[in-house]
Amino acid sequence: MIRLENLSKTFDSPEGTVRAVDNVTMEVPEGEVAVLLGPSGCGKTTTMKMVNRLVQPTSGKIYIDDKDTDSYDAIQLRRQLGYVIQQIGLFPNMTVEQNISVVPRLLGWSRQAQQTRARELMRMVALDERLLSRFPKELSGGQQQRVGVARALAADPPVLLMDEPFGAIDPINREVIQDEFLKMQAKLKKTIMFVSHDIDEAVKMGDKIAIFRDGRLEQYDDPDMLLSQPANPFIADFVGGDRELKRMRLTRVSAAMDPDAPTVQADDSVANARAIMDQAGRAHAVVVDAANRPMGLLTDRQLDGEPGRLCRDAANPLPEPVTADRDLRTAVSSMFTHDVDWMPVVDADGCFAGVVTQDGIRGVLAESRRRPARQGAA
Amino acid sequence: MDILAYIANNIPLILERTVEHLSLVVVAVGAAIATGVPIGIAITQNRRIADAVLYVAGMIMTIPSIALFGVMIPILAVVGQGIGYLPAVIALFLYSQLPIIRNTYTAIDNVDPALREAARGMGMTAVQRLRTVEIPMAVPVIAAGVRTAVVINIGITAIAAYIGAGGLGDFIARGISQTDPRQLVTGALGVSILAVLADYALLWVQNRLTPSGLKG
Repeated sequence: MIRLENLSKTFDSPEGTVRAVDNVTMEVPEGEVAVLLGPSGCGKTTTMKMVNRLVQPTSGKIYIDDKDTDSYDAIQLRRQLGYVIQQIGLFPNMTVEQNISVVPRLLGWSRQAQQTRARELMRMVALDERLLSRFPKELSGGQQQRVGVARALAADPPVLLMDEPFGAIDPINREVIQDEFLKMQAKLKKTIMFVSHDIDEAVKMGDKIAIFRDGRLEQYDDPDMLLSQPANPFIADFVGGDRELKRMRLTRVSAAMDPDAPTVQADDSVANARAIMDQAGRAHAVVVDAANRPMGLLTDRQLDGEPGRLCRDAANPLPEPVTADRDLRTAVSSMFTHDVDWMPVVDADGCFAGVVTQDGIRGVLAESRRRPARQGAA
Repeated sequence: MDILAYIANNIPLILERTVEHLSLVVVAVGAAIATGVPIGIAITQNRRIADAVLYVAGMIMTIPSIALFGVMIPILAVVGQGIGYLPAVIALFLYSQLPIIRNTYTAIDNVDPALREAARGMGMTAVQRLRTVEIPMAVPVIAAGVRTAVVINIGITAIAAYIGAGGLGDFIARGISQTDPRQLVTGALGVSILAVLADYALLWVQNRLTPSGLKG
């Protein structure tokens, strides 16, 4: 856990005193990612650098796990915090292995322990062990970025500070590394302070987002609250006019789907289907095969005619199903692609899980807009 | 043909003078590395001091060597060393300062700030940063400064023959005073070849000292 209390930093410049960070109070809970977000010069990087004392605060306190960081020697403190910088900053004169082992070496680990750990970290960041003996310049940008993350994790610090860590790579690799990092974080549960200027990255990576302007913390909230209830026009503007679309990224299809949509077996009779639909009070039923995979749609209009017909023969084709763990944005995009206003939802094995409708999605988005807004920093 | 015959007949003498010549340069540049590198590193801490030090070192470079030798005669005469080995070494030492200090300063000062910040952020002390990052990165540039100093000094040492320091300059000085082209050309050739060989040898050393991660 990282706690900032009334943290301020002022610089003297020729034009007078500049308040780079102005009375910031916030807390990054154990195991969560807090993204510090804002335009350049808003104080987000300065705030982060005060945590590892690369910048000395003018006033205020910083606690890590309830311990005042002023009580540490700055050098010792930094060795206990993982640090990833925007330019990656791998030492070109050292091999990948030497780069990864910098902090363990500073901490006096045995050579054996350093080697074991380096191999473990390479696996963790999905890099080939053979790269350990290479030099940074022989690696691609994405590989260097992974090594940068591995280096920060080397001594297994509980807290990571990341200063626009994925800023130096191309957008495609960036998405990949972000996804990998999230998977890693789900296992490692580090407490992370993450500086970014990209709202999409913040929404994707952050459990919480802190928006800075002119050194002040404007709003500190979870991404969905920030997007649904921006505290002021500046934030609304910063998060963008498409903020509802961004919110759809945050919600899984499973949260918006109707799991009680009626199903009928493919070899059931139409008469049976009518009974099931009447009982559920619905005008539609999804036809599933023996393995519970959706294969067609029955509406009450198709039930007319011979009651002994099989559902399989009466069914209309189904829209392309969407997987329950995808985000709503994917589902909506797919609805527009196929010009439908609902789609069946399947689980990872392709079995029917429910249906998602545009109405259902509207409902989910509206629900959190009605949640009471929290004030200021939590 | 006269010249070749002269050289062939005087091989031992030429070798002796070459060794004298080199030993002057090696001692002076060795001492200059021992002082210039630490000075170059130290002045990275303060821009104004750096400017002042580089200015003074640059000024020393502009003093003609023959004048510098002349100035040192009365000063070193106090300790009975007005001419000969000592003033020559001191002059060469002074001339080596600029290339060595300037290259060290520039190399350390130009280390990517991101690397310095990464090193600091990971908890390296200033000394650890110098030892493991900044100096290894600066070594090729420092070595280039040493190379420059050595080549310059091989030339200047030829003039030190006039204050009795010996070396290949002796052939040149005598060649001039005795109007003997054989000695004159022998000395000039010797100095030139020595400079070229030293340059190549030090280039090799420079490549050896360059961390493999910085090559190519």
